Amino acid sequence: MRSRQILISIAAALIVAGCTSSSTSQTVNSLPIGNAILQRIVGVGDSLTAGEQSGGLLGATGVVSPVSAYPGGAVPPGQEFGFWSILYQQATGTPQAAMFNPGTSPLPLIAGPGLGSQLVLNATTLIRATHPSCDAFNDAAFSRGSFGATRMSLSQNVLDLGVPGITAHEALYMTGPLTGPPTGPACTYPFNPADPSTALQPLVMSESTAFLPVLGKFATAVGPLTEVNVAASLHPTLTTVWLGANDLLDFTFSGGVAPVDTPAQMQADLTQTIRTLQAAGSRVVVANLPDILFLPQFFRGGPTLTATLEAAPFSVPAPAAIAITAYIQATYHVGPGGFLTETGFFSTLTQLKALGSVTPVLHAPGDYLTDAFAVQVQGLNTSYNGAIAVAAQSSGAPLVDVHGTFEAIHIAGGIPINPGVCCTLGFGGGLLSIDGLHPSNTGYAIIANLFIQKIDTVYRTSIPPLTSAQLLAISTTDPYAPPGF
Amino acid sequence: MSFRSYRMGVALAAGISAVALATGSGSPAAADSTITGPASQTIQTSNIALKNAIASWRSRHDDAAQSGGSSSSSGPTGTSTVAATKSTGLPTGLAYTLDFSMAQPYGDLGSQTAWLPGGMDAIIGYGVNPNFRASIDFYELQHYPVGFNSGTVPLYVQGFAPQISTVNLATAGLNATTKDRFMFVTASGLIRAGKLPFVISPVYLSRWSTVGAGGNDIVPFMYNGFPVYGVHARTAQYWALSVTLPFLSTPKMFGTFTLAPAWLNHLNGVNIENHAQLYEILYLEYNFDPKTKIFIQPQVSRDYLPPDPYAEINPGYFLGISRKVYKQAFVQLVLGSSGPTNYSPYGVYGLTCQGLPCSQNPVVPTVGGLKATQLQVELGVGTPSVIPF
Repeated sequence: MRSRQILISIAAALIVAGCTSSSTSQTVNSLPIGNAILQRIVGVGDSLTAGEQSGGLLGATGVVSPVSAYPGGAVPPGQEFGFWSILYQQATGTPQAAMFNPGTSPLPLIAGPGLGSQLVLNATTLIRATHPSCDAFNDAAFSRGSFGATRMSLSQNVLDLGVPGITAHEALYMTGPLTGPPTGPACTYPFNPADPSTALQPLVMSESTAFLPVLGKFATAVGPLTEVNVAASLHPTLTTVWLGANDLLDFTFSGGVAPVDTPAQMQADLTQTIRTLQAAGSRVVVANLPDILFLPQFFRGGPTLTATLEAAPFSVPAPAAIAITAYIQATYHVGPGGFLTETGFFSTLTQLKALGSVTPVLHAPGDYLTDAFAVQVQGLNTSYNGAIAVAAQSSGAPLVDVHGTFEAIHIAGGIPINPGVCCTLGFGGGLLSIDGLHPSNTGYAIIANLFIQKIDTVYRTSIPPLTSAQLLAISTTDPYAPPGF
Repeated sequence: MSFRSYRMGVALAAGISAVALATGSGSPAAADSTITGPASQTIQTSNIALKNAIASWRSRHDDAAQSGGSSSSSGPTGTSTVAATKSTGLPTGLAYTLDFSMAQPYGDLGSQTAWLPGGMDAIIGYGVNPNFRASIDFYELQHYPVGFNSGTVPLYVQGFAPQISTVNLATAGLNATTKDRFMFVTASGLIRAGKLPFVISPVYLSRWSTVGAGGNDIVPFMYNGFPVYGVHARTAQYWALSVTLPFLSTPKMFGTFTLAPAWLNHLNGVNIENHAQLYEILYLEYNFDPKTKIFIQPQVSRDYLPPDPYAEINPGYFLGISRKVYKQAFVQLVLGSSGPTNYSPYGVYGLTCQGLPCSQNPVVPTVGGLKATQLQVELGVGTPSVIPF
């Protein structure tokens, strides 16, 4: 009996000794460099990575709208012209035509009329949406059973995982639409006083709309279904990470009340994202954020607003422009340091032209940024960029300085892509699309070159950047750049 | 916020709360912490064997010293031990214990301050000879965790870093009453190394639970920022090997120290490692008379529950008094307290909406380490045992 007990003890001890786990982690330094990392390029990010333009995400060609003033009533697709698409084309030698083809494109091509509410030029109102953001097409995107209707094809091997509207934190933790489709009039959500969380629904609508169309196909293979987890599951060799813009925009358009990442949280989230991708075997390149208040979504108040109103294409008479500027500063505290948003600016114009009013009724949040609040936005913008830089540096990922380039363009008053014609950061200046936030084809091309130059330099690849001639060709056919815009 | 590495000693409680919130049906909540371990149950049997073995050795020593003078040593109070001159090791033959218990929880329990009924222990063992014994034990008990329903906790939306609001758990009507059940299968062997006897006991433990009114312990919980569904949050099986050594033996006092490496039968839920965990249990008793004793049992126990990525480290103690009231009948009072040291904060400390509006969608709780303190009253027949809460 005793020998039996001893045997049991020895067996148990052996089992205990065997209960050790080993983990293997691939260090950044052990990852390859050179053109070998161009085998599988994945994009992690938001609408900027997805190639959104003018408030909509569209990949299909041949989409027309009766409200569009573009030739033939065309609605321009944007996905194929995004920076990630251009980077992919340049790095892999993929012809642009292949990016439009659902059989060969790594983009999650969205069918017409597109997700969101795409803006186009309009003959009478200057700008108009092709369709509401709560039509049947958009509503289908909220369900795992119907999101496929929004895609040109679900059999694509998607590598561009940019989810419009997603924040840095959501890229790690969002596992499904955060809200259903809007059920109220004019694409609104009814507010329930007993449940303050309903007030957040409009704020999370865009990422809730786009989440499944981009990531839904991976639902059975990846869990939890997050953008970063999907990216890691693809075992990329190179990943672009560009996040944080929506944290800044949520803060800005909610008047500072939206629950967004603190800079410290932003740093932690991005660090985790980068290290997750590195652990999956990928080299990573990270981009920072431009100063959003330089973008044409925001119309600076004070004398600048007067000048903007007086200039073409708005051509407001000087007395009216001066009166409007003064009223807005006195009433809404939007002075030389503050801004009207694009919504607020065009609301002001509409009230002037329809009612002759130089005392526009504006609403906050959404229509304007007071001088004081604009300081907060700029501060958060700067802090986020600091957090992005630290996250990149601490995890060994090179930083693409989009901020620095846009700042240089802002200071210089433009960039001579098409000298004398294009381009500036102003509204209609050619670098941004109609929504004033997402780049035009030309703007995306410039950003793609920034990524290419950084990747080539740090990872010793030989991706050919777009030449000046190629940039000019893109600009001259860009629906959002002069002379076409 | 939501990407913290969450664990819950009793995610179950929380899980139920999530269901309760989601359905709008309110009911009381509870969760527990436990210092139950695969090793703790073996102490009683081991102690009996060691007392008998030591008494037997003393008897033989005295016999030799006194040239045949007779000596009888009374058995340990409150045990079924027979005179050392008759028993030299583990109890032989059939033995049993059956008791029912209730417990008074202490601490910040919010509205849940009532006595907890429904505890039960049933033990049956058979000693083949003084060196080998086998037993099967079943324990059933309820828990309320500290602070589980008395606080206002942050409310999050999945994917949002900062909180969006707060929720009062008590008014939310969470139902997380937890009833744990344990079954032990133990084989004990008495070994003597010279004058030192010790007991080695391989143990198999299976535990399962019901949480709230759900009839099972499948409840959602947050782990590392993500909801986890479909996991039996308080079901697990373990192996252990306990070794109990005596360090004090006088006519009035007796003490042992037990070391027991234990490990999961297999990984569950979000477990990501299964290293052998070492239980350390100190036991010290004082016998006032043959019927009455007091005891203290400080210990550090370890536990792997499905919501735990790593083992939970639970220092705790039992302080008790037991008395034989009639033949094999006994009554025992035990004050027990424990709480994990590697998980904090305690209790349900956040709720996360999986979609908006929160009132119409599942809300999954985030729970830290839980601790509990309670006084247990047992009435039964057989050998009173120190059972976990």
